[in-house]
Amino acid sequence: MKRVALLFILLAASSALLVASKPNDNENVTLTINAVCTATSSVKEHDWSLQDSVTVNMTETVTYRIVSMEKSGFVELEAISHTNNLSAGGGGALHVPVEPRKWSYSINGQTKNPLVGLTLDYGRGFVILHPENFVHEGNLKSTDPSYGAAGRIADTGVSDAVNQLGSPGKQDFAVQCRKTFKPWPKDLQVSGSATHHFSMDSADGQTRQSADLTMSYTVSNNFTQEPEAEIFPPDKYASWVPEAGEDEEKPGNTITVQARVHKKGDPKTPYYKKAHFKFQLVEVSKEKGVCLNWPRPYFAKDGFDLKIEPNSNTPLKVGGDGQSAESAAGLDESHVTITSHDWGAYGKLTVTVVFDDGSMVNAHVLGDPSKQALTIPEDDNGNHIADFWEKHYIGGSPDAKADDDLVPIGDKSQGDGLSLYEEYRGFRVQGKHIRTSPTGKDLFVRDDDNLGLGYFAQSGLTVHLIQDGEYANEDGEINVSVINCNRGFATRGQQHLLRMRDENMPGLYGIADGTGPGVPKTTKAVKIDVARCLTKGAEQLQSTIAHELSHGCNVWHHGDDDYEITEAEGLMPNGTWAKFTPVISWTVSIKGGQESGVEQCIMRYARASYYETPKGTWRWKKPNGALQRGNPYDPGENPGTIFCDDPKGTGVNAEKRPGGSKAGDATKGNCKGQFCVNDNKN
Amino acid sequence: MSKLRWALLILPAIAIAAAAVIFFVRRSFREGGPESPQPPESIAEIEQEDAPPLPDVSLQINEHGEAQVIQGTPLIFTVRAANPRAANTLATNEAHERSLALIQEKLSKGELSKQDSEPMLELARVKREIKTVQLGTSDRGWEKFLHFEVQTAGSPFAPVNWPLTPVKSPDVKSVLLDGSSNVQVQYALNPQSADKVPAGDYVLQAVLEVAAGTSLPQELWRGRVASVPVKLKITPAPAQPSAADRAGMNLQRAEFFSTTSDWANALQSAQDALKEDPKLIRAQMIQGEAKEAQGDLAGARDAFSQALRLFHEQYPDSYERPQYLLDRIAALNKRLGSQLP
Repeated sequence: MKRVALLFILLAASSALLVASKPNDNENVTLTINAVCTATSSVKEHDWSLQDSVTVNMTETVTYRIVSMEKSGFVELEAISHTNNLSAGGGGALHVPVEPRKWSYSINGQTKNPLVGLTLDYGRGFVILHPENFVHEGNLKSTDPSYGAAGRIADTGVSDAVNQLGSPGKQDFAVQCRKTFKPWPKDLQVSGSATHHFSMDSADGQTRQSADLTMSYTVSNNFTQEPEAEIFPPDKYASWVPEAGEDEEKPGNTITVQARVHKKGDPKTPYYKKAHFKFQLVEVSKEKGVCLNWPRPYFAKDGFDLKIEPNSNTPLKVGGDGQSAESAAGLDESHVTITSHDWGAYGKLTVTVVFDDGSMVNAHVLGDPSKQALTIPEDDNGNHIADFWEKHYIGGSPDAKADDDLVPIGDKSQGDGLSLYEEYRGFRVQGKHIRTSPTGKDLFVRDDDNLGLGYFAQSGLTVHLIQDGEYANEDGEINVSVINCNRGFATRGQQHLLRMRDENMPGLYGIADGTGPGVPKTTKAVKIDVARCLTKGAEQLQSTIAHELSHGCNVWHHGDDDYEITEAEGLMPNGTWAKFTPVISWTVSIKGGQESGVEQCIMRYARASYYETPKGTWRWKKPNGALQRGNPYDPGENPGTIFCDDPKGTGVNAEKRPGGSKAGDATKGNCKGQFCVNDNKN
Repeated sequence: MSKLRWALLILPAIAIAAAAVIFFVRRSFREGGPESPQPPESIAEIEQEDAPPLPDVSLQINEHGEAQVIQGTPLIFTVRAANPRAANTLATNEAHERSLALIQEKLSKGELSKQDSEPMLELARVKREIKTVQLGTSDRGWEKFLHFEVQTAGSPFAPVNWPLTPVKSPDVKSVLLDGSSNVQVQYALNPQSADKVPAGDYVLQAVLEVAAGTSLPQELWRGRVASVPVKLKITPAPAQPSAADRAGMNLQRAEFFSTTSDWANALQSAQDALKEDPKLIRAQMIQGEAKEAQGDLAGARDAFSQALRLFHEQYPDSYERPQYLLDRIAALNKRLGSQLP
């Protein structure tokens, strides 16, 4: 019964698969069989005797396709073609006095299904042949159905041999039908033969029956099927940009990547071997902190910025450093989830597919066999910056170290001291991460006392007010406050922020305390005397804030050559000159001096003691001794509210002002054209 | 019977729970799981992910930074609230506008292809919402939600119980902090009260706190923000203070009385300070301010003029002109009817 069931399964499977598949010589296992079964039967009684013999010859070649291979190496085979030929000869005679008989044997020449089954196990290295269907009463015919003892003995002999395959003890034929080979061969070539003798003689010696089965076989294959492993980027790979958590320990965003192995060139057909997947992150960034200014260097670490976290990859065995992971064996596909720990994280993922026989293949990125690693994030130009982010900005150089910011044009020098990569990696500003623009020049300001930016927004710079703790102090000559304190890859060096505070000043409204107008590194602090500014009104405060911040961005006064006098004479109504002396000195505004240029400009001084004019009612001696006529400057003008873009004097400084221009055109002027925040410029 | 009733009750609950689990699990898978949010569709989506509005509070005690005073020195606490997040949003929006103009210029000049410009334009057109912060009501001024906390060695922050009094009530009670506004309030600890504060090392912070659920208008900001802590070191008054000690203490008293508009004491303290150190520009300035407030315009002009003289002596290379002093002198001259600037 068991044998019948087995046969049924084998035949059914073979039939079905024969219909479904086409042969492919390159991936096949071929079984070649030559078998002979001879059987004789003789009976001798006192008045009759019977002599019967049969020989069945069979040749068969079966071609199998490897459907799949289990983790152990057990192969599921699908018979996709076969040829066989059966022939039978012999016959018998019954010698009786009354009615002697003769008969002969025949067999169907070919069968619809293979006669011999095959078990193949690459992992354990053996083949087993199953000749159950070779000879049986169903296919061997006798011309006299009443007789044919030899045919039955042949069937019984085959059955006896086959039954040994599954029964302990009497294992001769089974052993011979089972041929071992070195496990996991690249090419299989196994030959063997099996013989079996079966006899069934009666105890009195009158009946002698025997069958001999001889079977030689060859199992071979010639594998040329190759695997192909591919890395499948997720759907939104193109828009994935790394993010980080609050610090290096906390996870940021994730990206899940699938890897799959299949038959080369045929993604829909699984490869016959099963495998496990080794994921490896390579060339992973190790930037300090999670962005350029957070956490501060004292607290920042520089571990890997992309990690394979065990919590997100429970089916995988994750390596201790989070840079590698391995799936279980016996798979066609696996996936890995990679967690970002830095806003500028970058790296590559490689996948090695290791088959259960130890052979391996490296996966390539879907559709591109030349790419053996998936770049994370997508980064075709290899600058470690996500392409998704880059495409949103006017392109300068794609070099990660480029600093090509254009807006505002300022002093016409490009850049804001932050490289392209640094703009992309970004900053923590007011407790929230931002990426800055590589097009617009950025300035970071720590406004310790919440003074606000006044009129400074008109600078056109993109100003970021940061919180305490969102910068670090480093060694420096003047300004020690650095915004890119976690800089590393592709940095252009320190970029300083401006610190601003309310401070009691000795008679000034404010000052950019440092080495004079220059880039931010030259300004130690911007100090504003809020209370004194407010004695003149809120406008003075707004203007002073903008004025002093601008000095920290390389903007100068309109001119610097006003001079001091220690006495002056005023023309009295009686036409005489009366001498006056100041407590210390008086300041005279000159053409092109600090009061010159556009009247409303923030960088212009709005008051001096006197200004020069040939028709003035006052006179004094200039530092060079020349007599100069002029007038008291009063009333002064209102504090500036804009940044000028032209040195030409306007308002009180206009050339055609009735009574004459007070201070004329600015020597420097064009304040908008002076802005520079790039600490790499001098 | 009771088992049946129990089963009738529990089974629907189990079914509902199971349905909920299935729903959330399915949703998690559909959404990529709670730890793997879907990447944004566009840069606009990223740009709009903005933080909630958050006011910032700063605290200044007398001068900026750490303060070190002798016991009994009066203190001025200056608190300012602003909305720097909104200021940054405003700056970013303006940067986008500038960027938009640049892209359009390059497009018109043919320096940028239409295709390349599309994502750039998408970003440049993003205009973030400026999230304002509303503090205080017409009945309850914003400063009423302020308090101070102090920390001494080894102890946590606790409310300050020093008798601080407002220098003056803020001009407005209800304020809407946008990207360009701020508000200020000052509190004073007068010399008598300051004398009672034990010497020691203190860390102080101003806290703005609007409790959730209070019966206040819905539009008011709610939450708690603390200023950057400020260190204050109060040293015991020396038995025999040096001239520098006396000058410093009197100057700080002068600054205090100047802030509180107590001009008589401001003048006296400034003069006391100048007796010890005649080179104190600030003391001269306060003397001038006090005299001006008291109507002694000539005396005020002289004091400011002295301050100007001291400035030139002490800061001969100053890049900035002492414009405050010049403005004061000019204004006083005008009031005095002088032709002199």
